[in-house]
Amino acid sequence: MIKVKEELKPGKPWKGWGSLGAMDVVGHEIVESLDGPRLDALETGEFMYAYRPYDIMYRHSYGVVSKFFAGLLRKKIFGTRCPKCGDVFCPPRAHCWRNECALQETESIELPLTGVLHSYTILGFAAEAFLRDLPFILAYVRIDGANTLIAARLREIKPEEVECDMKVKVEFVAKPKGSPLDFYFVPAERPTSKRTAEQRKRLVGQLEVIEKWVKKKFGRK
Amino acid sequence: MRRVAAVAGGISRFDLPRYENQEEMIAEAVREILNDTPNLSMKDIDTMVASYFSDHFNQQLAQEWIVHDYLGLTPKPVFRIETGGATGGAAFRGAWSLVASGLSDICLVCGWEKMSEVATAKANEFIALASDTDFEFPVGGYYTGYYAAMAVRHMYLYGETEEDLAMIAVKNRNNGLDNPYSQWRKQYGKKITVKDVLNSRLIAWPLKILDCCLISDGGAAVVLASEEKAKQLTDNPIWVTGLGLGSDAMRPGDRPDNPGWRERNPELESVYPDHAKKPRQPYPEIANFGACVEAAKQAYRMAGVEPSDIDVAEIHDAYDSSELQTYEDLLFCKRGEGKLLIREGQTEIDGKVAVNPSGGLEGMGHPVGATGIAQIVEIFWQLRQEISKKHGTDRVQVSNAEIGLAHSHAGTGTTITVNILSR
Repeated sequence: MIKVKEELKPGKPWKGWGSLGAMDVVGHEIVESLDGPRLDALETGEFMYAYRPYDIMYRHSYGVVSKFFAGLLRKKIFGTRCPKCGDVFCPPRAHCWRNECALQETESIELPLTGVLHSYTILGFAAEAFLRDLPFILAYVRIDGANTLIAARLREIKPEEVECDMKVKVEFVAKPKGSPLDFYFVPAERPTSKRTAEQRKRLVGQLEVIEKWVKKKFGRK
Repeated sequence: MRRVAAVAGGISRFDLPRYENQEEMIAEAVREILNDTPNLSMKDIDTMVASYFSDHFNQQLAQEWIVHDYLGLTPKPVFRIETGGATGGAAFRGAWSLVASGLSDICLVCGWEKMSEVATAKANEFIALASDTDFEFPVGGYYTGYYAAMAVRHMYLYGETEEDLAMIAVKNRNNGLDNPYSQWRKQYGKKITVKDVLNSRLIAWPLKILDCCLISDGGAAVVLASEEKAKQLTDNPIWVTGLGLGSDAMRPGDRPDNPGWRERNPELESVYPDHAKKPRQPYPEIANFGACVEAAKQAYRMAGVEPSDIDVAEIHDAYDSSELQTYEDLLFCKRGEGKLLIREGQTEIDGKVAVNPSGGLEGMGHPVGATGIAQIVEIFWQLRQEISKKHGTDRVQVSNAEIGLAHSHAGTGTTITVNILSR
């Protein structure tokens, strides 16, 4: 278990970033520029930019399906199952989705560490928080027995070799912390990619550009 | 229910950044409406519906209060409608309901977004907070990635190529080049080719930066009125004849077996290739947008038209891949044949159905809450044959356009609206 540091708890005075909540102006800029409602009706105006940082800590409950995340700490994948219709959910749902089951409460079940890649993408850009991880493969996988797909990363395969419907396995990071990043998928078979030689070459070239960009921006990889 | 007409529309141009505030941009769009509609005064507006997506971009909640007050509309009714990327289409639907029911006679719908205050990667992060923050966002998910994965599945099933997608980006961006409200015209301003798209920076394979829409500031407004009021305000009202709204699971991963889709679209389910693992609900699974078919069928039925009757459409091309998927989900063609529409030029200005003559989200811009309203305004101008007046050239005017369609799209296809307007 990773204990939450006292100073990070809600209501406690935060260190550094936590003091940024007052929309205090930390800098400004006066800009003279054209603006207006249409490109053929622009006029010069003077505008002021204020630089106003803001940041927040959230204490978030994973809800009734917390067992999924607690399971990750033990390197297990838990889904849920509706006792009425038998549908299996991973990501878990605490209540069944089927109208006929009238929001039946589900039961938790441990799922196998195998699945099938339904679809994927190779990311060359991301939300700010994940830029330094680029490039990586985002996968939608049906864990065997589940009626849903779960999103996670796919590793240990060259991006240009990935193909839909390939078999994959679940693996876990060395030190899980109760985040969906605690698990990831790896190939369980060598797929036959439908990419032509030209498509493969173009993709590899594009990925080299991304790797250089990340290295330049974050100075590593 | 009463007949409802659109009587005027205005746009405050899309750009990154616009220096003006949301209320200042909306005032400009409303001034355009007042200039175009001498019989309409601010006093006549009895209700305002607000359309904006996120409080995060500029850290200001309840922006509808600011805008409404700024326009001098207190103490009249105002409320906000928000459904992610489909906010504009849903706000329009809300305003239509007010006028059709008699709760309002003249209703102003204002849409805006100010996305420029944070870096592009942060703006993408804020938008990604409209995906599941327990299961999707924390593994590095964000919208371009989700759409890319949905496109990959569609390509795997039906075999379109990156070149097919690129042709859509080329069409839309080049369409936007003389639109005076276009961000793309301002930022780039010249024609692009398929090769430019293919060689642009990778964002989420198969999508490169030129396959994706723009992050924008901007505003738009439209006035809806009852039949009686519409005829007093304009000689040339455009009737709102069909409205549809469909929905799907927030997480695409919850779609392939989802019992909600059981037996709803057998004609689409049957088009599923043998080489792929077939889920319990072969349509829409993650390859198509079931919410779109749902919305489209509602709107066509209400308007009493067939998909082939649509002359001009503004489709939410957040990604060119989703425009291709949407051709199929609007029933413009059979499932799997979206690629043929673009290859054959059927969605160009002079094609079977002109799609995104304004430039769309790629060629005009995508200030989220303004987007769906600006689509309506562009369709309104198309049906009134006013493109020449508004764009300064009739290059993208669809001649004799009688019936137009605006498609507003949210989440990973989670809320989709289809609104049909007729001359």
